[in-house]
Amino acid sequence: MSRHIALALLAACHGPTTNPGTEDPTGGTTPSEAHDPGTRPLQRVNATEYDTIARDLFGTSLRPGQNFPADELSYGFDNIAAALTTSSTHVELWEGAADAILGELFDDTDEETLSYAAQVEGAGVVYSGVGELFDDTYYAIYEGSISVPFSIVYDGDFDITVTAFGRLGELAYPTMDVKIDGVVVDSIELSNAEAKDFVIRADVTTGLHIFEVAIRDPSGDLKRAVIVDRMQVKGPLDPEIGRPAAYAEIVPCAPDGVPSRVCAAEVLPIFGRLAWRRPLTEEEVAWALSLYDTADQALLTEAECLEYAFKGLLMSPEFLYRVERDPEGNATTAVLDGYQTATRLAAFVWSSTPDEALLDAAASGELDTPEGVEAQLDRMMSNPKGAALVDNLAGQWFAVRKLQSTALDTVVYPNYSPDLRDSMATELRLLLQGFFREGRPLDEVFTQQTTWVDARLAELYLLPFDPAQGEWQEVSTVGFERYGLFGTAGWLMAESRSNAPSAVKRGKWILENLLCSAPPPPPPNVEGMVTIVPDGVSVREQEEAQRGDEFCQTCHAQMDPLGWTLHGFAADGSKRPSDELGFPVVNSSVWNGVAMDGPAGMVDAIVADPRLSQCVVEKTFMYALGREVRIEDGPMIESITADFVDNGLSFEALAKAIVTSDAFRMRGVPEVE
Amino acid sequence: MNRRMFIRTAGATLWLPFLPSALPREARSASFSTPRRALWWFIPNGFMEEFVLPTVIGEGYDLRLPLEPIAPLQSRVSVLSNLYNHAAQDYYLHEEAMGTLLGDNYIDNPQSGNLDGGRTVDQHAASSIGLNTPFPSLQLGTDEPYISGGANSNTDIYYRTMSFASAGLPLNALGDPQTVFDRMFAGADATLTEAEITARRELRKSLLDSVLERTTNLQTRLNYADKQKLDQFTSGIRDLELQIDALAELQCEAPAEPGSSLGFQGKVYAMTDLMVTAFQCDFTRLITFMTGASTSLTQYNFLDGVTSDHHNLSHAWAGSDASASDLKSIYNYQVARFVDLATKLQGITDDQGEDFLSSTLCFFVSEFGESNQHHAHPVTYLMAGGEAGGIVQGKHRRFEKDTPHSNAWISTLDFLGVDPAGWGTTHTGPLDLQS
Repeated sequence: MSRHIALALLAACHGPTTNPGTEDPTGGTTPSEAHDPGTRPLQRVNATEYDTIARDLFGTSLRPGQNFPADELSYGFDNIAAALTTSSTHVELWEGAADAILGELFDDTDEETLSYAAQVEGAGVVYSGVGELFDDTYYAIYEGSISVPFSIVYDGDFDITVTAFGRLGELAYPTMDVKIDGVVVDSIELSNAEAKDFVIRADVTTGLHIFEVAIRDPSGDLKRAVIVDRMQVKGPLDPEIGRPAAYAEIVPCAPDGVPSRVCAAEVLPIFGRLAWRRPLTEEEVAWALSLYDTADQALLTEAECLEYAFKGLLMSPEFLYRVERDPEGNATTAVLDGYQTATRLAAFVWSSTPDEALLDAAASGELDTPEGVEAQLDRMMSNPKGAALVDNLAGQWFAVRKLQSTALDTVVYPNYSPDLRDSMATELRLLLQGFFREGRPLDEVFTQQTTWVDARLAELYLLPFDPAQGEWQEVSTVGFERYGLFGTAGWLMAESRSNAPSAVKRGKWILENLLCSAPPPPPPNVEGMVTIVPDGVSVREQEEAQRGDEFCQTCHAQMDPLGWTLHGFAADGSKRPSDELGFPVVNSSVWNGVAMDGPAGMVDAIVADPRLSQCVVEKTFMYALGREVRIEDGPMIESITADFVDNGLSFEALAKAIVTSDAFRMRGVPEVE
Repeated sequence: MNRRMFIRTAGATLWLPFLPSALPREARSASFSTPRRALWWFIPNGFMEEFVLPTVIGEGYDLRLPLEPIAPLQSRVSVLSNLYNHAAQDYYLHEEAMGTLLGDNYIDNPQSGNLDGGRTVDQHAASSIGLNTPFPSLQLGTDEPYISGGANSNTDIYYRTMSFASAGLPLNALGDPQTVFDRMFAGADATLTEAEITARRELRKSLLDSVLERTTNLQTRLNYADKQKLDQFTSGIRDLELQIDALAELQCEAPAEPGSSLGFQGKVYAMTDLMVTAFQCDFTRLITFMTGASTSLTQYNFLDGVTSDHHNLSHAWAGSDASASDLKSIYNYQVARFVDLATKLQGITDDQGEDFLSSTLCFFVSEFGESNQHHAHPVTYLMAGGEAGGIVQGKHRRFEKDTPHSNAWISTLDFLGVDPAGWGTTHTGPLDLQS
């Protein structure tokens, strides 16, 4: 390894690392002086926000953003303006999305309940695994499945009717799995020896889907079989008649679906204000109307003309980006106007676009004062749309999204299933909701000895569970060594390898995400070098021996001791008395000279660490502003941290301090290049 | 709720029989009698010499387990071994080896986070031959989970794509086959007349023109940084306008819709078919396909005995024979899928009577060779087809030590008839693939 890299690593890892934000040479601020608000380039609406905005503007259930090219992540977030780029594919898919959303809004066809059916041996039926025709019209599945694709015209609730019976094997009746696109929607034990109809209710979306009947746990004996006659898929059970509800709200002047030019002139400024997050100028309204006229000249229907004008608004940079105008003249900073403040607030709290009330507050000047901004923030956070803070800010920060794309090795963890992972994600969200939505102080995220469990998690945690008390229950974890976040199976699993827990991953996550003291990546030829072999020594001893030298310890002494305190939790989050090799777990360690005894000791050390509150401020600041934290932000970060600490470490106080900061309410202009 | 897309009426969806000789765009292609194409199939997390290297050099090379699926097509597939990714030589990070896989700018300080491998070879080619097709290039993927760079990283863009339009401008892959299908075939409305279709297409372009004009106007009032962001948008609008015209000229039969909600295997199959369709219909001539992002966590649990994720196995093999065996199974699966694609290209012929494989140069590549220690050299690639360009297949070609991997991309540019001038910094000339 070259020497300069070694020095860089040493420098990066010595002791508690300093943050860029704390290195402010002046060491303080003058309250009367405005801070340099920093700059960020034009922020593209990301894929998640696109879908949320579409939901809020049109009430649509379409989620076109899910298929946009993945957004660039920077520092763990997908809304960092400088990192987000626009490719030609984005533009192409934005156009498709606008067409789809508006197509739905203006669609006046009445849906009807349709029936799709297939008989064994019918066209398009696919057989996989082991099976045979049975009694001429039936098909017996011994192993695998039969499936058929149907192209669903209207989405909604469907009834899937499978005509089937079971043939007893040596030990048991067979169980039939009914799947849509490979996902099990219902499992039924077939103890009937005569064919009978089984009806399963499922939500099905428009488009092509594979409907499948499979045998669960094939036994290999050629007697036990799921025997199928036919399958029928019928829906939507509640077809929509006429235009969607959003149409009447957006185009009230043409309930008959024939918006005249006069009606368009009425509607466009109102809808335009919502779409562009500010009132349109006269010139802009004229432009939108000119689109109506262009379509009119091409002999489109009135509804198509208005749709065309709407499409123009949705394909404009004012919709697809958050445009903030620079100040006139030579000024390098400007106070945002109310609409720009509203736009930033809606992006931060709702991952969306301002609603009428927020735009009205902008118009009235309410958002020009810190008190007005605070009042709107209160309203917005208590609105259900505030859940975006949990989904997107906490979801990315606290590994919920990461968990959802993780799976475990089912040989090592035979009880693991995607359903269990979904339960873990729900628990994690409920726990994080306490801090991000319900006013509970930051410390509790780490110290609380209660958690939320369903039957699956209760089984995993060996906690009592009474099904009569509801699907999800808040329970005490006292005596189980489960403290807040670090006791949740979801977090423990997200920061594990697929077949074993990882002290390094868990420790590194804590350093990066709670203390903002990230170690640099491992040097050349190092990653993955630790190999664990069953040679008479515990996993921990082997790992410690292999990273024992002074060089490795520079960084690992910061990460690993934190992780070792959680060594008693397997990759699936269950408690374990011994490690992968069968040696007793040792979960005490020493970190920065402090002895930590198990999870409780580590939690105490983290909560007491002065870096924690500031780090939480930095992460939230970064997400709220859509830009990275600079050294120059030091004084602002300090002052926000002080507010946060003085107000009981509540997220509400933190959010208030951020949205009333100069960074949030002002805009800096980059130096001319 | 049904999806109606009536304003958007592309012409590519008339469900007419495929008539290659009728393609008007042929006249505009380079000097070759049939269009030349290139494709890069990406297996993440390394492709280890130790597991795949044939002992025989030249023809009749031996096929170890991971390469066994090559057997039926061996005369048209070669192994390129002992190549060296010089651009990434100092520091073996996943993201560094990715930026320089098809890029070729030397990265002198990866610690700085500046992992700029520059414009990638597919995009260099797209800027010339890509102009002949509705999609200058396609970036396809599977959206499989991977290990993100994390909270302290701003280099995440390098994990998810191997195609960069320019430094810092990643072209992220689309992982949903139905979305890719819709890009090529969406918009048909059987109830419209030819004249109505034309009128609506003109309207569609007129709207984009109008947006473009307004945006250009808006840009004059923005600062430099904001203006740059909108430059990406305006160039996207212009590309879309070109694409609308190009698609309108193109007549090609739509295959069956792939549907959404496919699993990993289903996506690989569906994307394979879409790649064949895209070439057959001349939607594009350049494709990169990421079967997973770098550090991919794909679970190959449909393979016998494989239970751990791909990234884990790419390290765990070093200490476990069982993991090594699982990793070889994954290689075997990937090679089989790659050979399946090549075989499908072999199965269709162009108007000259040549099969598509001979006019398509296909590579099977990974960011690393040895995967536990992240070695970007030596790396082993597979190469199929391209005989129309004089490429001789069916050989294990072992190159001299230190031969830049990017020499393979110079050969590719030669094959495509694209001037390599201005691309890359570490290559030393084309590989000898024609003897």
